[in-house]
Amino acid sequence: MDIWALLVIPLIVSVFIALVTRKNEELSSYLSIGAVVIGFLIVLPYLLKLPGDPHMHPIEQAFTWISIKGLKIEMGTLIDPLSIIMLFVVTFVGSLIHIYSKGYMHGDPGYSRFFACLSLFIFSMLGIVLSNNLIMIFVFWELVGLASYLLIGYYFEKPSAADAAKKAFLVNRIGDFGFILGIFVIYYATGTFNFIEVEHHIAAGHVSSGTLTLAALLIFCGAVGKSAQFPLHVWLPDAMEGPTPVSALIHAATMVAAGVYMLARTSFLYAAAPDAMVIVAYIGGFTALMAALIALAQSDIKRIIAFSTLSSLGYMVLAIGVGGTGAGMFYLMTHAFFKALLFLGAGSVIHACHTNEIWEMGQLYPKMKTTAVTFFLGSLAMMGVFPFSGFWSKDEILSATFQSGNYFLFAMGILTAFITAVFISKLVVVTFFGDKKYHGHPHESPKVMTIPLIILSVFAVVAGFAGFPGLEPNFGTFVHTAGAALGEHGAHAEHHFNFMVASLSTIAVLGGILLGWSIYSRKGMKSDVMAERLPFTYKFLENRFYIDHIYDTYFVAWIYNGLAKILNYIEVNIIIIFIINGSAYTVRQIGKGLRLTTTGQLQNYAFVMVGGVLVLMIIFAAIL
Amino acid sequence: MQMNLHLMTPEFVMLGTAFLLLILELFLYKGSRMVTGVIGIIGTCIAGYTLIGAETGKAVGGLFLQDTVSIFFKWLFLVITVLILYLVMMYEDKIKNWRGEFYALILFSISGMMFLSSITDFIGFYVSLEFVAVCLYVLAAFTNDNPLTVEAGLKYLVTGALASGFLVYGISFIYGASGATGFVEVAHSLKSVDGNGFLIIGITLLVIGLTFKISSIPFHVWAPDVYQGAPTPVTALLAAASKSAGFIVIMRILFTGLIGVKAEWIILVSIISGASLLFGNLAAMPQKDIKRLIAYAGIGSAGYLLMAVAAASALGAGAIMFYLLTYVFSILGSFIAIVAFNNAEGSDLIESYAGLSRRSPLLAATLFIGLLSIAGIPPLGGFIAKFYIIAAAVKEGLWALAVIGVVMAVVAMYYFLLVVKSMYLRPPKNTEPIKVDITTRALLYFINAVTIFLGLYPGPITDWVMDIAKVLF
Repeated sequence: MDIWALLVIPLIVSVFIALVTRKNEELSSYLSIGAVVIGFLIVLPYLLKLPGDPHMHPIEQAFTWISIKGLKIEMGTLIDPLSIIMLFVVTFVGSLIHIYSKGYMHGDPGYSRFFACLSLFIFSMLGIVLSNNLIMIFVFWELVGLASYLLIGYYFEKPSAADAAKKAFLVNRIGDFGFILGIFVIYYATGTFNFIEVEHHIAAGHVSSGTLTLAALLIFCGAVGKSAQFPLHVWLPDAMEGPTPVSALIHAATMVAAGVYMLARTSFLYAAAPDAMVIVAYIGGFTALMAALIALAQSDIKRIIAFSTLSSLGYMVLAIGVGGTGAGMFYLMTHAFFKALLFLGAGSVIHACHTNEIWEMGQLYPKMKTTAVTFFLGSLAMMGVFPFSGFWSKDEILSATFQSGNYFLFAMGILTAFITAVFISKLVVVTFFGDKKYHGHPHESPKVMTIPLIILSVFAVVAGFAGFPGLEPNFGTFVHTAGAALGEHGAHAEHHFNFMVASLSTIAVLGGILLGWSIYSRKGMKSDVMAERLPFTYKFLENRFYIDHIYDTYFVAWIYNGLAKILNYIEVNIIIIFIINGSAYTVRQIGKGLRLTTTGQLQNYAFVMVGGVLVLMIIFAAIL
Repeated sequence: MQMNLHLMTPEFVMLGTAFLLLILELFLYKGSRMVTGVIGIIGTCIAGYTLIGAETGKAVGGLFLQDTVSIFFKWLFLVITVLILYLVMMYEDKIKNWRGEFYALILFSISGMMFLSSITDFIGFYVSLEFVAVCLYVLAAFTNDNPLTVEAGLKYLVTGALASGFLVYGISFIYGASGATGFVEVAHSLKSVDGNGFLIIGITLLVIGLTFKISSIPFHVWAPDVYQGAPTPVTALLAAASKSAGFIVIMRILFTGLIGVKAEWIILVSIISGASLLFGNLAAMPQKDIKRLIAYAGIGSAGYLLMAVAAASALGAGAIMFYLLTYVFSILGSFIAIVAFNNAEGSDLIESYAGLSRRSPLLAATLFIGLLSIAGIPPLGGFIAKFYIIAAAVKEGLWALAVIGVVMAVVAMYYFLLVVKSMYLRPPKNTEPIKVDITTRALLYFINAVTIFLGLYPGPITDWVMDIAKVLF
């Protein structure tokens, strides 16, 4: 029952805030924080039991939602190590970000609306994590999309925010279309939506490999949209128009990782479809490298972190693609800590400087020490410096890639690590050290904001030891039990610590830090030196490979000017005039005519009744 | 002869309560109208208590059948009774020459309907039906100071008598063909039509006679005038209880008695269903009075329910029960809101509902949820009900009906959304908030929650009614 409470409490709180406590901002924020903290407390016992019982039997609770002969849809929850870890990430990071928001959003006119949306998000996100079947996951998948839409467009009076919300929503629809088709393919092939049952059908070899590849690729479309993989990555950087805690919670730590979680949940499908896995791996690897390159040429603090998120998501997808489900989930968890930390730190900086431009900051370290130190720790974790958490999780992905034998992808991974180190060092150096360029008097944020930063930084530093190779059972054991039931054919279930991989990545990272530090720590730098030295490359990267530009010029313009105009013409002239107005007019006239049959005259009524009987008898006799 | 009278305890409790109210009315002093209503509600609750865990079986030598289907309908009638009695208590200040029989007559008619849900014989059926009908004739004309009401009562009486005539005529033909009055016996002797013209006339007259209670084509003519003219609680009684009683009777007669000549009546019911769907929904559009609108929409609803009858399957029967369950809550919630609004504003015109969302968000939300549930918009209960009905029709190959049903659902959305538009988008003429007392508020919250629950999580309820419905086949 406690598991259902996990879902019900945030939902009730969300509705309650929207309907009842909207006017009382304090109470609204406490309710919302309370809901997610209670969720965390519910999850905690499950998490603590996990190391003692790493091969726990999945607990499934389900009830029938709709059942008609031949179609049964369940609402159900599935508790296994995979979902427990994800529940922990969502509720723990969620709790801290809720608390941080209380300070960050202080004085905002839509304070209660913000918390109502956050609770709605937590409800939907937990729904995804707990789902035991594909239909339910899809329903909640769309619900997080809604919550994300509402929160990106939180400052809806700003056209850029409204546009970004629309963009996120529409781009996600493209991926979701593939996702739902994939769900139908699976249902067609196996006759069920339930994960465990689908898994058994596939393990028993009931499904042909062609169907499996098709289903795997279609379902992957959903993850491409939600986890912002190339070519649908364009919505995520724009989504930073939302308030910073939203960027941290939804667009870094949890929702965008839902795609990766979904892939991990359906990893049995990918294990059985090696062709699809190769495509998944390449998309992930390419996204990781591309996003890291783009991040080099950005100067907005949130955008830099947003592109690093894209890059990290690419890493996770790469991990799934090379069969390293455990590595992907491990990175997902550590990433949730350090990326939430970086975003919240960025929020703290923005709160103090009232700008997003890193070239208008500089020398912030003496002014806001807590933020700076925690941000610094988060950066080290992000870059993957030994022994911070990012090191362990990134290393698992890289060694999984290495073991899969795809050295090209491995090289891309190492290169990405190098570039990441460069732009993260630039970010840290330019923002907190360098020359003083800020205006006004920045000061440290209130405690309600810095304490979550400190807690997150602790986890960003030590969470990696959950995957420490000497530890038994370690992180990989938990997650692997999820896939191990089906024997993960072709997947590399175990990851040994590979000294060569670790040294290579460490060299790449240290090289990147050195390069970044030496370029950007020079005195008197007003803007990015790269723009002067490599103008064309810089322009290319700054414009994000011109991908958005291509979409805008070719697809969006074509759709706006061509398709939309044609459709509009059809709608206005044919559908509205003929079909809608015409049929409405006809129907209304019929209605008016029919109304006249009810004259109010009793004699007429009797006549209608008797006449009706006669007419019916004649029709009936004629048919017989 | 096995009497087994204890099976009829709930009916006896209702009858006893009705008599008690008649007697009490003589002694109570004029100002204490509420007391009779409250006693009526208590009596209904006691009847409900005796229905808990009721055993199934036959009474009075097989003339009375208690099975899970009749128990379902009896529960439905008791819920309706409580809500209608509450509605009367809200409404009674409007009635100038008040008489205490109002409550008693409602209880009498409901106990008649409870008997109807257990009938197994044409004679018992006809007697119970007339018992209900006589009570309703009186109720429809109850507030005789209002000429509109008197007119409504008279129209109801005359058209009802005419319909009753057709019904009896039909029954007599069937008796002639089968030599029996019990449904089971009729089913034994009527295995097919065998070119018997009199039997065909009998079936036709019987089925058409039954359309009066459910207000479908061709005996729908009374509905708009009576719904509009009758006191609103009586309108609610006609819309919720009388319609449910009509459908349990139709299911008993057609699914048990005339199952052998299924092929014939399916055609007839399909024609009636299609015609009712088209007429009810199309004629609802130009309506200006909300009670008339509901009357026409009710003709459409009867069309949907008849579609499930025409499916002649357990799925169809289950769908009918689920539809009636959602319909009862949606329609009674709407009527409570209508009465509350009328008490404040004195009008039933749709245009007077303008800006209701600003004057009383709860009343507006109740009408919104209730009417859209009847229109069949997800995630409300009515959507699931329509979905099951159309699924049942498609399953039996009634494609034409299913298509009409889907198209008419869109039309239904149109006219119900006109009401919603008036409530939410039009500015109010009078901005004074409408006060709703705490009991009514609680009741409306409860009813709305039920309607939403039935739409969001219908699983257990649909499983339950589908299980019950198997008894009929």
